[in-house]
Amino acid sequence: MLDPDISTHDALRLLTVPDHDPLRMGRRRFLQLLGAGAAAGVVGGQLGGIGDVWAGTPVGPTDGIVVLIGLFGGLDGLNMVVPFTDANYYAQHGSLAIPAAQVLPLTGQLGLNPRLPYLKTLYDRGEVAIVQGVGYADPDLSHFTSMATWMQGHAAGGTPTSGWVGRWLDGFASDELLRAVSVGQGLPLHLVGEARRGMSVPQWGMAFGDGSDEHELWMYDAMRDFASASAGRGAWHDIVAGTVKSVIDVGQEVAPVFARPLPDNSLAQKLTVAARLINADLGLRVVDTGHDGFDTHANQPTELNELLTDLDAALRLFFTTLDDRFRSRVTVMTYSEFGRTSWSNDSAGTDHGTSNNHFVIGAGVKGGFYGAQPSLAGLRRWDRMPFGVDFRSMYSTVIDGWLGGGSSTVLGANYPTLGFFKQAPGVGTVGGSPPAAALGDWVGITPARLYDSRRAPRLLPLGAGTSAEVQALGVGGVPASGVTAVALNVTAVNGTGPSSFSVWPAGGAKPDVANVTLGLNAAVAGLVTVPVGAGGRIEVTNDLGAANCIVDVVGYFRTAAANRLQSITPFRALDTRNGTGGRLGALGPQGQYAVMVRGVGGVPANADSVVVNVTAVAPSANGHLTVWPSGQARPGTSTLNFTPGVTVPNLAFAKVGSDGRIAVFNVAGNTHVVIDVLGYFAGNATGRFMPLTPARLLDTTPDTVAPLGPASTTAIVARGVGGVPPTGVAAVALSVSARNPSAATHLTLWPSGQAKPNASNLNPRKGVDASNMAITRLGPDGKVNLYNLAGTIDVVVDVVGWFTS
Amino acid sequence: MEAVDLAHLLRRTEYVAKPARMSALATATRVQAVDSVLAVSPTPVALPTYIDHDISGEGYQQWVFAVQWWLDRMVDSPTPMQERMTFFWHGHFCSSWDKVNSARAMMAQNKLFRDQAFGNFRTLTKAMAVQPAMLWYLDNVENVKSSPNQNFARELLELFTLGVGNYTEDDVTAAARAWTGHGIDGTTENYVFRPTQHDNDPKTFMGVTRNFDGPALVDFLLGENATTKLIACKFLTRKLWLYFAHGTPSSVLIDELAQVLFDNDMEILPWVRAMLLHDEFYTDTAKQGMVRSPVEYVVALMFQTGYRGAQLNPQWYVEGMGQVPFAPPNVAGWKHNGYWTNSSLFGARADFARGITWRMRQKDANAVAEGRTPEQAVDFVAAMFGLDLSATSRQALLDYCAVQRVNQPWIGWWESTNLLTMAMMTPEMHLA
Repeated sequence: MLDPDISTHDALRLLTVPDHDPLRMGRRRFLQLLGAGAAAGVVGGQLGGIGDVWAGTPVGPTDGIVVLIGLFGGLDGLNMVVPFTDANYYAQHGSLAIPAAQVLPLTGQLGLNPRLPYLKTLYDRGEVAIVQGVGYADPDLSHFTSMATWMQGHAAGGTPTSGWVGRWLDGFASDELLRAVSVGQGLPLHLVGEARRGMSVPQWGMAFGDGSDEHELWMYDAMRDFASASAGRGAWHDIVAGTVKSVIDVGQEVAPVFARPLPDNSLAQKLTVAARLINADLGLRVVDTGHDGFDTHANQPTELNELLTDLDAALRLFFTTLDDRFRSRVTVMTYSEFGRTSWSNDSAGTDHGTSNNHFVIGAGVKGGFYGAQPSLAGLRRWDRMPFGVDFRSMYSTVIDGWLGGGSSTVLGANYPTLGFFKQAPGVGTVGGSPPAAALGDWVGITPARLYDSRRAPRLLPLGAGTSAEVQALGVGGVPASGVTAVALNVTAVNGTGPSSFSVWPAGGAKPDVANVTLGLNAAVAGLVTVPVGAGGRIEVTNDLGAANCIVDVVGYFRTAAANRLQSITPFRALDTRNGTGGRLGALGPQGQYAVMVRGVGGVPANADSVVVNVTAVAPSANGHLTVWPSGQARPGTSTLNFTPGVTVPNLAFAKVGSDGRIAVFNVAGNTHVVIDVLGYFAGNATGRFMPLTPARLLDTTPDTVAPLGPASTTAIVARGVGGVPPTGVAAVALSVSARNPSAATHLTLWPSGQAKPNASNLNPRKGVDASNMAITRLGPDGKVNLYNLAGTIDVVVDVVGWFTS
Repeated sequence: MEAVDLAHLLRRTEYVAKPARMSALATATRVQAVDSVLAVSPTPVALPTYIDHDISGEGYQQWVFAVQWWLDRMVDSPTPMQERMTFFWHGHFCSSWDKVNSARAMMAQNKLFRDQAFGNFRTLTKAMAVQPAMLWYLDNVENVKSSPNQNFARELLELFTLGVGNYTEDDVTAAARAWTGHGIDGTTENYVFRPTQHDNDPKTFMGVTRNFDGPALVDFLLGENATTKLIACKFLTRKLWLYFAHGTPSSVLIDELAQVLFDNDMEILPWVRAMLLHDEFYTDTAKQGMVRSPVEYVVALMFQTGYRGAQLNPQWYVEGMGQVPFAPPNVAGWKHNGYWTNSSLFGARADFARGITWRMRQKDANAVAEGRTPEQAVDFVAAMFGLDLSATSRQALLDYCAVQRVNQPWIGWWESTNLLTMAMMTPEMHLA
């Protein structure tokens, strides 16, 4: 017989079958678990093996998608939705009660736990329904039975053989195998039907086949070829070859769903994977997630605070990861096996209760309150709150309102709808204009170092898939508030192999863009403009290899009026090879030179900063260049890094000194220096910077796209695409990556319709990938030209922001 | 005996065609080779002390140990056919560690299957029926006169001897009554017969009315009653053939081999011997007719790489592959071929192969591509895993080497690494 005090963990485990063991579910197992072995004379109906079908037909434009969040252990609903004017609540919940002053008020009587600010934001948008007093008759308060009851979701009750989502799946035609997945280990009961079942998706990725390293991709190609022709050794040989191929195909198909980084926190990770699964448009209608730990018998304040903080962050991550095209089709619903007692116990906790509060969230949800908070008046120590809303009414509302109907069949009875949908799936548009906070004006500063993985506390390179969070506000001369984006010079150094750094706002979704690519060089630097994320931090991830990471801040964009970018036709301000800019001859070790940039080449006298591409030409040693405002103390930062004999460029935002010059310093060896000025920031200029989620404008890496040829010019449309509006654009900020150069070359970007300037943005060596940021004006047709000097080369161009005209 | 036939015989009976066995039997006739395969020592194999009794709180660790110990035995036994048959009986007379929850009971059953692997089927049936593992697993322990439980009796007829359609519900009822009173002593957890709980009234079974007891009913079913005995022989022969040979035996073939079991009064050895000597066993249909089960795949890789259970932790992987020793999915046991071939289950095989690869490449060992042409490297790695590659598979591996070498001017770390994984994932490696 099952232990009535079975832990949540064990209950979950017992209610979950290994997803790859298609035969283990069934009546037998449950009878066995419940100790009803005497009646177990029946072999459970065998379900077919799990098919290879991952993708069904894509979800239709008016098909609703439901995301379930199991809050296992029994959530304390009273501390989620706090009755902050109820003296009984404060008397009974005692020290656990949330003070009225701290709640996030929703109505005059009810407010959210202060750890749920994002949920509050969604509520304020009218997208959160709060259902109160949810429960069912005669609960026995055991985790196992209660969870089984919720998962079963049938009027009959009793020993469950299937769950409510599974029975909804039973209504599908036989060729639609995959409509529901659970993110995590194994398949929970509610996704198991009488005839069909959902599928479980591991939250960490597939066992095999989802790699992206080129060596793995070559191996995958060859393994697929086991099935390229019949081996002539019988049917099973060919079937096995096809199965091996399908392992790879499935792995590659779902690989983007598991792309790193994934949050460490389990629920945030599951909800990130859930959002990506929906974005992948595999045909999923139900995505199940869950999180354990809500069984707060003791030490509740600390534990619940942590859990709710995680939950709120996970919700934020989910909705920011979810594609806009699915926003109007997705509804999120929480569930939990029971609520908790209104009285606190002697261990600063609460015990298993009955009725509970639950949340339904989404663009189609009619925000507000449903059901009612049961009265706490007169409840004694061991009393439980009565319930007012049968939990199956939440299911019936979701099934009929969001999943196409059939609730009475699925649930075995008619449960009244709660009416928490205001519209059908797919109605209305969500998303639209970027938030006003994305606007920004430029403030250049003397560069300052924000992070160096070689220094304490890390003292370690960033390995593949590891991230560093870097504080970017309130440090190094950047104010603590009013900042929308920072300009960082990110350097990869001492790599153990090719490395690829991406930089993005902390807490946001990682873009599929490499900002700094380290090939065989000892160090590579790249300028990155990135919005600031949660807590004023940005995040840097190394996607492959291992390399140390240095982050220097060179300026920031802010909401208040300041300087704006004016892009100009590039001109060369300094070339030490021919004396341009007043200096002839390489810079020696510890040598420096200050070059005039104000009042030359179209840069006005009031320019605050200049946008320059700095190139070290034919250096003789390992070293770096530092660019900073002339007349000030030289900062301990670097602008670009070089190795002997290799010409290296980098984009820099350089604040101009009071003498109108920018200074450049060479740390070691001899090197020529070339500085091209691409634009300037000035107070009266047009050109607010609008950072974008990076979007791809050009990608020649697929086999079906030809690489750029020698001495070729390619026009790239950069207006009205990727978030750049069709009008009002003066210039775009681009991230340019060069892959597989067949010869030493350089790339130049300039506005279409103009003569190619004598400047370069990127100088790849033969066989060495490289990347750099570029800022360029648009031609009258909204295009920029891209020139490749020599050999063939694959190029990826992403737009990362634009400047108003 | 031709080398291809000998290799086929050894793969099916000894998991892999070990080079030592191939050379030892190089000049053997088919009869000599088969008798060598079946030359099992009469001395019983002792169980390790860690798993021959229950240790409170260590059930999981005992299961891990038991899996590793058994897989190691499959690799190392001088007569692997004994383990092949032991596993056959495990998948036939199923009990699961999950429900039985006793190392002692599960291992006693395992020992019985091994000790009597080539004994008498009727004797084996009666012996396994009164072991605690089966009494618990199919609830016969609950089967008492006042409240009969049909679970065991039904499976005895449906899955262990006759097959569906060869008995009536009344026969199940009678068999259940015959098996009442066979229980387990609560203190010693040993088998005990309780006459007071046994139904001593006459029962009508297969048209014969008699005061059957359980074991007597088995004697009747598999001995005295020639009709049911022959049905059982055919039922078992079909299962045996599907386990060792291929999935499409003719009824003529089944009848012929079933008659051997019948004529030898349910003796297992001559029956298995007749199968291995049969011409049909050496047809292309048979040679191409089996996918290695997860356990067979793991054992083959363990032999080829030299790693053992404690190093590879195969118990982590076999569940993903779909076959957990000591935990059949249900009383019907495992099936074959298509039962294993889907991308979920094969993903776990690839995961296992990759794990072995990392282990093999520690300290840059097994640089199989280093200093070799692509042809030499592919042939070398194929030999490492005992693979006779088809032209298609060989070309895929060669193509991989070519891509790798075009993109990298030197023979890099990855080429050796990936060749090892690919060899373990060739269709040839997955076929029995």
